[in-house]
Amino acid sequence: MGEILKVENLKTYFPIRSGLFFRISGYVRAVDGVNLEVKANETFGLVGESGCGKTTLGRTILRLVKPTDGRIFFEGQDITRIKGKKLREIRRTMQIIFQDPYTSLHPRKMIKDIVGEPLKIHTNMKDHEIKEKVVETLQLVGLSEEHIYRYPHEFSGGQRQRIAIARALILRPKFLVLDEPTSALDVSVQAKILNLLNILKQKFGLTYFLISHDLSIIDYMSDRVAVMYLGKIVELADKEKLFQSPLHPYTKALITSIPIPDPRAKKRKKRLTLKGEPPSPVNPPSGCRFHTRCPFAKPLCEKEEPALLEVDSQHFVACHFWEEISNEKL
Amino acid sequence: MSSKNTLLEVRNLKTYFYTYRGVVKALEGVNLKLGYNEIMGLVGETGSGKSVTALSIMRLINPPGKILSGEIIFDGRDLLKLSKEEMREIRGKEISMIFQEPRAALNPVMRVGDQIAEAIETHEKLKKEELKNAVIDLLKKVGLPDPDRLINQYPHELSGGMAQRVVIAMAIAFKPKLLIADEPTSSLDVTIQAQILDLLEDLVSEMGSSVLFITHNLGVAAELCNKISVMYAGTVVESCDTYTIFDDPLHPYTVGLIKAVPKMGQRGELYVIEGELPDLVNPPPGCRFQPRCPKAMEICKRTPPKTIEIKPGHVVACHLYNEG
Repeated sequence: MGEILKVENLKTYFPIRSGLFFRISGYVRAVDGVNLEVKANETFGLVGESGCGKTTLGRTILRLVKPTDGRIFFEGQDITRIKGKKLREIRRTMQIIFQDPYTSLHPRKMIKDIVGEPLKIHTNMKDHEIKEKVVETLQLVGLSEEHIYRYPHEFSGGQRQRIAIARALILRPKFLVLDEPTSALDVSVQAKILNLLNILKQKFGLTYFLISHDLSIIDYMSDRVAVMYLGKIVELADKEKLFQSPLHPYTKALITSIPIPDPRAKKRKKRLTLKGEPPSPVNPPSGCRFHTRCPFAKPLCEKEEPALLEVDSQHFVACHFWEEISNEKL
Repeated sequence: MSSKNTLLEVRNLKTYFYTYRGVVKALEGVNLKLGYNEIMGLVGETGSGKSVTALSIMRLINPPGKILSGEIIFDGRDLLKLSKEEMREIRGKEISMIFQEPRAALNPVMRVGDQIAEAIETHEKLKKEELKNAVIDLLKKVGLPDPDRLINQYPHELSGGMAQRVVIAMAIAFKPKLLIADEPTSSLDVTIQAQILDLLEDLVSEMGSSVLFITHNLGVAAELCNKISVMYAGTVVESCDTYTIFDDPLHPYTVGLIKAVPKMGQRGELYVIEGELPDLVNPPPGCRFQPRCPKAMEICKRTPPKTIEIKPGHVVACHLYNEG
């Protein structure tokens, strides 16, 4: 399986301006040196807590946010700095589904215009052809022709997310960023959307870049998973490896913190509770960024930043003491 | 369970909202029973009436909402029969509440210390120095570092987890008999959520309070609660201890809800509850779950099911389990 996307040392900083002349007084280091590869036809899961930069990473990959440094390759082509027509060409193949279907759809446009808009931008199809294509795509996501003259407010959250999926799919892209696609939805609706996404992936041979803070969704959907903390990837591995034998202490804390819907699970698991809260990405801690909350932190962690190393086949971790920690058996 | 062991009993509670669209029948006969030292999870999806139930118990339903009928027996007294003044005595002292969005629950232009002091002063007059000490003690109790500095800070200077601890500090000031927590961790990250759940569990067992814990997250409910009540479209469809609800759920909605959540390690298609939540202005006739229920019968379309106790402590409202 070849890679469809490759990211090298990607950095996205947002300037903080202050003072009389709005001079740049600092940077929010939202994405700070990320390396990863996404293989064709896989679902690549990205987990992390709010503010860790996972959404910014997703948007930077799509070139919706300007990268500060590093390179992005899509199907072998360097898309880090492309512009205009070339960028538009690439966007046909890369789409995004946002978290909140209540804000991602234009409230005063009809469904046929919302879903058909990408065709207007990227093709020179005639109106009746666009309508046909819209109906066809709506049917794929479980909606029908009767819906095309309605407005977003007439739909429930789950239906709106289906509309957003239809809009993303209408150009038949290869690569989709799913940014928390179900976190605004109830569980019974969530199940339907996740099933739909899996069916569509099979049908069109899509590649998903799934961003979520919910580990059970990441576990259910993904093939490989990366864990992000404060702008950096701290661990990356096949899903089974990551969830069964996590190496980074942050991954362990995340996994043991998710409440499991099984009352007996609580007695089995020993929770690794972290102290404090994630520090600000404006002033990330020196050395390993996790050392301020890490229960195993040693003096070295404060000084030296650990690199993301392959410690087992296809299992990457950025921790100085992963070996000692994993021997300790949590 | 005899009524002696019951701290809170909600019987046949009906709360409607009179909107321009019509009457929203938000609660249609809610029954709940909460014992002493119990943590009950009130589980359900958006719009099922969890929060309205909590606000009704606190008697915080304002127009266009109205509590139409029912009884809320708290510690032997029917809260719906109390005067406004008597109710004010109970709020914050015997029953207190923690809300979902901690920063929205705090006054943005008031220092943290003053807000907690205000909560205390509502029920107890203290000298300035005593008051300050009481505030600092509370902040220490909820695990906030450096309380002397914190009392002079404003809510926007706190993170979500810290703000929630401040809200909890206010809620436990008088060791309430009943703590109502409305999605207290839903806006927090998992590692912070774990901290807050641990804190709540410790505080509650120390104070001997009962908790009505509202959540849409079955995982949180499974970890924290010893009893669970499931709500659907304004009614409690099933209620029993936490183990039974996961091992042997009876109501078809409970069964579907538990199956719809992806479990760690689960593969294959997720179970789906067909259809959508009903509009509570025009709820379906009979059982409100009937249009989505895979086991619906003729009777379900005509008569709403009665709530019956199948086994001691296991209550369900479904025609499948009615006599005969």
